[in-house]
Amino acid sequence: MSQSQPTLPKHWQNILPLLNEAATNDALLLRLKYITQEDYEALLVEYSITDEDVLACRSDFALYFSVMEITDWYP
Amino acid sequence: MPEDFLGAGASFSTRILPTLTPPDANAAELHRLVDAGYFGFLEGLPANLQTLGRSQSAFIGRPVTGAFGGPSSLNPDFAAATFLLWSACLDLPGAHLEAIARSGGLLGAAAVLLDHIADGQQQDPANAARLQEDLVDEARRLLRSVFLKTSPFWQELDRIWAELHSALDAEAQVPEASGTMSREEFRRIGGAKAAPLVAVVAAVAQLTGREELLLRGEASLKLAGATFQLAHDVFHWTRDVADGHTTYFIALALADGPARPGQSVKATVAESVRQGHLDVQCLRLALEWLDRATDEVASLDIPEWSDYLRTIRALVERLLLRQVASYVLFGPPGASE
Repeated sequence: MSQSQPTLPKHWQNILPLLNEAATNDALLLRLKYITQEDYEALLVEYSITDEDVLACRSDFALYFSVMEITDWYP
Repeated sequence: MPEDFLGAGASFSTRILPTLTPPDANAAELHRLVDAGYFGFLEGLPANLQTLGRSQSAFIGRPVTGAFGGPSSLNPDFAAATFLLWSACLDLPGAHLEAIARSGGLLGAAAVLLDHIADGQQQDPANAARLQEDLVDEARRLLRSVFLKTSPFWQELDRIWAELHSALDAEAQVPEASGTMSREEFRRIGGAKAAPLVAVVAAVAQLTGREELLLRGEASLKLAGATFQLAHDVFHWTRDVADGHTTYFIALALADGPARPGQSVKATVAESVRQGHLDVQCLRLALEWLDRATDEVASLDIPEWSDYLRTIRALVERLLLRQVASYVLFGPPGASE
C-alpha cells in the first residue's frame, strides 16, 4: 500500500499503518466489523494511535478523500 | 459511518482518469491533431450529424447543453493511445503515426456513442448509430493509408470491434438490478471496452512486426479496462441501482439473495456491501488485475506503459484506503457519535 506522503498531516500518518494493514488483512477487517468499543480502544493503543488522531481523521476525512474518483472507460 | 460511505461517488467532486502525458512536444501536437481531425471530419457530414457530433450530451449519455470537446475530452487515453507505447512508435513514419492516432480518437468517440446506444442513454439513437458508423468508416479510411488491403491488420480490427459490439450487446441484456453477472462475463465486457486502445496497439504491432505487442498489450489493456470498470462501479452503485443497471458489483451484492419483501434493492445491496466489505474485496480484486496487467507488458520494454499502470494502481490503492478508513474510523460501535 501507499506509504505516508510528505504533506500528509500527522494524524493521518499515525493511522496509516492500521489502514494499510486492514486493507490487506481480512482478519483485521473482520475484527473491526464486530469490535466493541473497548477492543477498539485497545486496537488503537496497539497501533499507537491516539483518540485525538482518530477525531482529527474523522473531521478531515472528506477533505483528505473527497477529491478522488476513478472514471469508467466511457463517461 | 459518514453518509456517503456507500455509493460515495455522488459526493466526489473531481474526476480523475490517469492521463497519459505526452512524452514530448511532437506527441502533444499529435494529441491536438486527434481533436482537430475529429472536428474536421464532422464538417463533411450532414448538418444533423454535425450537430450531434458537437453535442456533449451524445457522449456522456444524459441531456446537457455543453459542446463536445473532442475525443481527448472524453477519455483522454483514447486520443492518446500512441503515448502508451510511444517508445515503440518512435521509428514509425510521422504520417502513419498521425493516421493511427487520429483513427484511435475516432474509434474512441464511436465506441462511446455505441456504449450509450446500448445502454439506452442516447436521446437520438438512430442518428448516433449513423454517426458512429461514419466515425468508424473514417478511421478505416485513415488506416487504409497505412495498411494494404491484404494486411492481417484488418482481420484484427474486425475482431476487436466485433468483440466490442458483442460485449455491449451482452451488457444491455443483463436484467435490471436483480440480474446476475459472472466474473468472466464482467471481465469480457469490461475488457472489450478497451477496443479503441487495442486497435491502436494492433496497428503499431503490425507496423513494427512485434506480434507480442498485440498479444500481451491486448491482455494488459483488457485487464486494465475491467479494473477501471470495477473501481468505477464500486463508487457508483447507487446510481446504477437507480438506473436499473446491474453491474458485477451489484450482482455480487445480491448473490446471497434478492431483496426481501419490503426491502429495496438499494437497502439490500447496502447491507450486503457493509456485511461483506464488498467494496474492499472488489478494490483488492482490481489491484490483482492491475498487477497482472503490469506483468503482461513487463517483457515488452515499454516504460511508458508500465508507468501508466503504476499510476492507475496508485489511484486504486488510494480508493481502497479510503474505504478501509471508513470502516476503521466510523465503523466501531459508538464511534460515529
